[in-house]
Amino acid sequence: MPEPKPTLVCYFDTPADLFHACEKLRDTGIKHFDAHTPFPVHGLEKAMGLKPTKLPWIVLACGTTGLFGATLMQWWMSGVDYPINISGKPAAAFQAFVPLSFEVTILLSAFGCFFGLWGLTKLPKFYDPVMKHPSWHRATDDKFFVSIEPAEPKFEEARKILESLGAHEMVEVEP
Amino acid sequence: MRRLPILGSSGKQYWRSLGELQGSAEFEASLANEFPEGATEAPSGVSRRNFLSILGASAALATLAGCRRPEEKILPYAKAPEEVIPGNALYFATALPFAGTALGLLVESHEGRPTKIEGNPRHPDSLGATNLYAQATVLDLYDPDRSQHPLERGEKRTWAEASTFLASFGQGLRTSGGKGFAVLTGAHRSPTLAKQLAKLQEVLPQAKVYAYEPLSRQNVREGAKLAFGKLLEPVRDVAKARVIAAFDSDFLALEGSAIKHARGFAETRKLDQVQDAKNLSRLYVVESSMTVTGGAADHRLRMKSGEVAGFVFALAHELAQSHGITLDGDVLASLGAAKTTNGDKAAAWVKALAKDLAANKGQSLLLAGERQPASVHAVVNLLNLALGNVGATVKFVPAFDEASDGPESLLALTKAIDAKDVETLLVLGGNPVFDAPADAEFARAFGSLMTIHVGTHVNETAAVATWHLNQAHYLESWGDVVAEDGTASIIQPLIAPLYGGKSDIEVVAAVAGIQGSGYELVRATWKAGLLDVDFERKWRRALHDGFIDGTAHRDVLPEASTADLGAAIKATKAADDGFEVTFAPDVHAYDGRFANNGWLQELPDPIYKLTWGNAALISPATARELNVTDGEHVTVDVGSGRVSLPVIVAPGQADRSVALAIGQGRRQVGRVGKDIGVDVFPLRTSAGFGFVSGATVSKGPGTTNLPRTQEHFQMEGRQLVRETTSEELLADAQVIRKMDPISPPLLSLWHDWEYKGHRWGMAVDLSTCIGCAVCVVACQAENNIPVVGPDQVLLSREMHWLRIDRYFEGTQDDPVSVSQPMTCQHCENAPCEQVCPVAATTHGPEGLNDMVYNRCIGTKYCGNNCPYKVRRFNYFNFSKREITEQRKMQYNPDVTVRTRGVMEKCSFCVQRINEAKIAAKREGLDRVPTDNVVSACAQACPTGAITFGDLNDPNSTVVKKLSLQNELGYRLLDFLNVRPRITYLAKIRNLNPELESA
Amino acid sequence: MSAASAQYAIDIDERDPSKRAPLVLGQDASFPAVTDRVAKIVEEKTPRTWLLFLALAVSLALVLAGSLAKLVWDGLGLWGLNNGVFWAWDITGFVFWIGIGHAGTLISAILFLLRQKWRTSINRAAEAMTIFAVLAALIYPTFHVGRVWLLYWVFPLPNQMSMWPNFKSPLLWDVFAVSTYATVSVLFWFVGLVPDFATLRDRAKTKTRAIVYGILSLGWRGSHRHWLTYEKAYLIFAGLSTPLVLSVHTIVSFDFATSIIPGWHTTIFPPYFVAGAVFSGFAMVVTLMVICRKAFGLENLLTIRHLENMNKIILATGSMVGYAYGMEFFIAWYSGNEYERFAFINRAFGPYAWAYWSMISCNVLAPQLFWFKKLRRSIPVMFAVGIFVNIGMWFERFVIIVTSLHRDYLPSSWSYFRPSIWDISLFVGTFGLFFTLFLLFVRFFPVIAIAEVKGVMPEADPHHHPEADHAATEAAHA
Repeated sequence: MPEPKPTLVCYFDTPADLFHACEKLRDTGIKHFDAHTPFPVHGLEKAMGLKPTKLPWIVLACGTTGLFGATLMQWWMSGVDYPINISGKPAAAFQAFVPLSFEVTILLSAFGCFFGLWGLTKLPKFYDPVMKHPSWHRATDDKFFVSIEPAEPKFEEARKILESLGAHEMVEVEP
Repeated sequence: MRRLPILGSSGKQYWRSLGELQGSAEFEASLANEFPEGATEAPSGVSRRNFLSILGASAALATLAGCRRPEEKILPYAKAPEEVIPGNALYFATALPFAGTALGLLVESHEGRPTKIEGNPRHPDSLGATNLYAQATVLDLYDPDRSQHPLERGEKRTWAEASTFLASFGQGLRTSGGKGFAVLTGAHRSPTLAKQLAKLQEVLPQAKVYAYEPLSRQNVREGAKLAFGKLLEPVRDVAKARVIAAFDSDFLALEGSAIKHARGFAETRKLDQVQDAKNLSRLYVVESSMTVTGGAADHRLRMKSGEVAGFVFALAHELAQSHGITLDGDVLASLGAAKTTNGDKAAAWVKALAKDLAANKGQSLLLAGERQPASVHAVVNLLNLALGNVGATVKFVPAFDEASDGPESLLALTKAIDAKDVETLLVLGGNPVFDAPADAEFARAFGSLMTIHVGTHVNETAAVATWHLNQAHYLESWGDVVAEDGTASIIQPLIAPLYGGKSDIEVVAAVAGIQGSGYELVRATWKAGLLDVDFERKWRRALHDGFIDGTAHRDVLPEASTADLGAAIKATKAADDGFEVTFAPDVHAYDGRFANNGWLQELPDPIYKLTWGNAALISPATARELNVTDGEHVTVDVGSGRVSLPVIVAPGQADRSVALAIGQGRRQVGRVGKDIGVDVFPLRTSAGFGFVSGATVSKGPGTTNLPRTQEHFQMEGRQLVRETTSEELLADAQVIRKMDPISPPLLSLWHDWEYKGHRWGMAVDLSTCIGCAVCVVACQAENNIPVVGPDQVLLSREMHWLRIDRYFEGTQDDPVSVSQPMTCQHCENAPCEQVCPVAATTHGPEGLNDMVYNRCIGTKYCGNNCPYKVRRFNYFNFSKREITEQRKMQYNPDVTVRTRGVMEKCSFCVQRINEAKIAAKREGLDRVPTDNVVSACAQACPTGAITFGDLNDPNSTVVKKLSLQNELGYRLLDFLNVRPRITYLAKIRNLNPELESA
Repeated sequence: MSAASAQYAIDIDERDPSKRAPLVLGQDASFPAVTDRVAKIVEEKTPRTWLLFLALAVSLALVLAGSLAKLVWDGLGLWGLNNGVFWAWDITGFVFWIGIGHAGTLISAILFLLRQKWRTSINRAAEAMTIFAVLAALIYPTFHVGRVWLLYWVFPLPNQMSMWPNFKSPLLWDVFAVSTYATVSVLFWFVGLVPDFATLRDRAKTKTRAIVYGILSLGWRGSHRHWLTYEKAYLIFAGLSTPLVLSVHTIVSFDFATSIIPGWHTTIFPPYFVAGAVFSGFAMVVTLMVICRKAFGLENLLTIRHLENMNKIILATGSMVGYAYGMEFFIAWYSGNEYERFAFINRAFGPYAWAYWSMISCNVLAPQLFWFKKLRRSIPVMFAVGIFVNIGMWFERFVIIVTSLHRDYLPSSWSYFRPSIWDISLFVGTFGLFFTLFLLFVRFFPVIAIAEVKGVMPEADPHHHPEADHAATEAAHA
């Protein structure tokens, strides 16, 4: 079986440099690369040519479930399963169900958002090759990293582009 | 074993062997084991709360007592049940001797345990209702602090030993002819006891019998003697009266046959149609401190008790002078000399009252208070006679006996003791060492004797007596009693003596050497008496009915015979300007005998809502004069003695008159009554027995936090208790409805639930409610409501489901007072229900606001959202704190005992409703027959002010009661649209136009 | 109000209204400096003063534990409650803490939606405070019930009684609102923390730190594919939290507004309670931040400008609350309902007048100082005012709850509530819990959102520097 191929990791000093690098890689048609930044750099997803996330749809689904689930539950419990005369009010009084339905909607949406986030980002994942880069600790501090994944067909092309842009510490990290 | 004539053949197996009741050695032994030390004696320095948490005696008692039926024939009131069905209550008729009369009772008994006292509807003096004390006696029966065995100089003795002692003691006396021996009784009305005492005096010719009652009615009897020349007792028929004048007399609550009086009064205040307002009676009250009677008055004149005599004389004089009432010349002269009216208002009253009385000859009624001197009673009797009321509104019957039970008899006894004429004394019940007049120095004399005390509790007298014999409770023993009007009742035991006690009858018999149990003695009395022919049948009838037919006296028509009256009138002391001290029975302890009764101690007094103890009532003006406020102490000094106690600033109290309640501050008492209240007997002398003038009152050191259940007595202009006068009502029938703060019809946002079956509801007639608070105790007894103690009442955590709100209107010094029973209104749109997160309080199909204890988690939100504040929360495990094996025996098995952390409230006696529904179902009926359910409060109410029933049943009493609901009916806080199920009927006063300004 | 006008309203630099004051000052104005400044707090060795404060806080927390144990053992009778005043310090404490718990979410959610960049320096601590306050608040509804061991009955769980909770009860709405709020706040907070945990992980000197922060950071590696989803998630959380935070105190106010007690039954309650919550919340944040920035030398990150902005919000919400107090009286009079009128006259002049007027002076008068720039920029003044506002807001809840209950419809059952020692010990104890958690937080978690602060620094903008190839970039875009 073939050697597992290494990942190429290097970094830039400023968001701007990173931005350009990403644009270049994008324009060269390189797909399997990623940027690692201490904070979200504005517009970088365009520079990298990323598609928008599906997260909102997940949340919408959860929220709707919450809304209808909660309303049905209340209606069935107090209107169908065990109707009681409380303060002479109708057993199934929808006006009274609004607050609870609302809260459950929010709750399920929040769960959807939280778990959806980690699902889409495939986290937690406690190991990733890029972390082997000697200066990795600056990736969450003040440097702006780029990594080219082994799966990238134009691997060497990408390396040249980055070199040309003066990327620092270009290192190939084993998986 | 004897067979029961009425009980079915299987009945006999429930009765127990003779040996037990007679106290065989084994039985005594078994009793001893039932009550290990510590369970029965209070640990020294035990706090009330500790007591309340003492976990009773060994469980043996419950099982043993569970089947402790007396073995003689006692008969259930219900028609011949085949046998006792566990879970089904039986009712037995008996009677309670009380305050110079007798209350015929029906006692509810579960598996042989009496649990609840009701009135006997056919008895002339209870008429199906009860008073506070009758309700509470069932708790006394199970009082773990009751005396449980004979004592010799404080040493525990068995009844076997006691019996031998009595036998030999009696033997010794009989040889000496009873020299130096005396018996001291209370004001008893028992033919059998009278007979035993007579026999005793036969065999012991030199023995003497004295009688003493701290709340003696001697003045009443002597008043009759002064007026008519013979000892007679008045029997009033208030229902026939149109004008009633009470002089320092609380005849609606405490004096004479109060229940009958109250019922009669209610009769004269009922409205079936608006026009009836024309014929309402008019109640005038002249008194020194606000009583239940004064609270119910149309016109109330506050004056010192000492001034009342002068006022009555002035009234008599006025009647004679201006209204042609004929009085004996000498009497008239002395009236003229002795009459006094303090102030214009009093003078105006004399004129107006005299006029009103004269205009209502034959249908007016005058009453004098028992503490007023005989001369006043005599004059009142003469006026009743002259006004033609005698034979109409008041009858006179022969006195039960000639014995004088006033303070003088105790003075005489002390004198005899000091003269060594008396060396051994047998005290039958009572507590003379505690409640004797101070100047009798009875305690000192008592100590120097060989004494035998018979009583249910180890009280101050028992503690210093040579021998103490534990007496059987009236629910444990055979006896008989004669009511005010002569009607006799057999007292039949509901349960065999818990502690093997004996009745006073049995003890006297033992001393006199008469053989036979109490049962046999009572039977003997009546076999020799009225029931001679066809005895057994009549006896059964008597036991079944609860009274003996045809024993009521035919009334004697007295004639004025006033030889000594003139002198007596002149001799009557007139009040001075100084401080006066008046003595009245304590609402909680009566004369001290109920001091250890938790229900009564925690019952708010009807007027000023004080629980757990007594206080000096002084008028606001006097409070300013003395510079004291509620709870601050005053020192009261009458020369012979001084006492320091807290005050209540009492609206309606006469100025410079200090009202004291006797019977609190007991020194030798059980754990409940320990350190409660102040003993005022040191101030009470034979001369100033009812009231005494010339006292000095000064602000004393110290303050007491008085545990009162109501602090605020103003209505703040809110339409809570609505009232009007008969005039206004006749002028405009809608006058009450016009008081609604919101007139347009109250609409609902949703379709209302329908109540097609039963629709339970209540009507409360404020015109007839006198605020006597019997309903509160009845509710407590029926519903296992815990006693929380003074510390919790101070935190306003009393648990009563039903309370009586008292409001004062008018000036602070001389207010008009109204009372309003307040309990769960069972709103159809109950605000408490919607806020409960777990649906622990919801609405039942018959419109009851149900409280589901075992679903309640105790958020207390329902209590917050209740506009009537009738919900009660178990802040601690109140029930557990007070529970003892004895207490368990009293609990109503049909009602849950609530635990810590749950909310509770009035259930409209849902257990009674369900009982009736089950009964109806058994008989195949689809609904409960008319008026088959009555709530405990409605049943106990003397005036019938509370009526309960099915609002969907056109024939029910409650619906009839509400015939005037469109004119007089209103629902409290109606504008909230919570739709209460309780309808209040407005209070109608019948004012005398001439006094309205006054 | 739109984002732009909001910025203009509370985000301009007083020296030159045309441009905004920098959010990070002095030598801290660089990425590594920010990282160091914040991470140092966690990494340096435990300060003695911190230990001292922790010991104090923990001992108070123990008082809480003791009080609760005694309460469950003996029963609610330990408190001063009575027939009529069935709620007092318990629900007062509940609403007090819930109110404080509103600032965090407000800052992290609403200010985020309003693009208020200055929030970044304070949102982390404010959110932490929110969560701890909500925890403290939850103690009260839990333990104020008579039978706490049955509390689970408020949840719709199948049971042998085959009964369900009463969905008409405001208290039940409360259960769901508060628990939802607590949950969502924790999730939101954690999401915000992940990148900073990664920073701490990568700076870790010891293995334990590396492992602990490694786990907490879920292996975050700043991948921009992750940032993309992450920012969306953050936006959604903000979007969810905003109506949530408004609903929570609205529903808390329903506990009173839907009742029939004069002084409780008021439609003004929801907005009035929310304003009050923000008011007390910000006051608490200012109080704590003033201490933190001094204690950990964060003056450059938590600038006077941040504090001043918060003080402006305190002034605004404080005035709203004051307006509500006045409006309550007007409506009571205007309604013509004698019971309503009495309730409010009794509030201001009844037995609890002392509580009412302390509330007015703390909540309405004290914040007025902030009309003056000098005062709202003065650390001592804002600290004092913050304390006063919190005292005042406690009194507000006490006044609403107790004065309404102790004298309602029937004068016969009027009573006076006095707290017992156990009421007091429990309330003091909740502060112990709150500060224990907060102290642990400032010691072991990044008190300031490192990544977010960096994100709002000018250098963070990829088009920041004016090089020549900038144009090329633009071209590339086109």
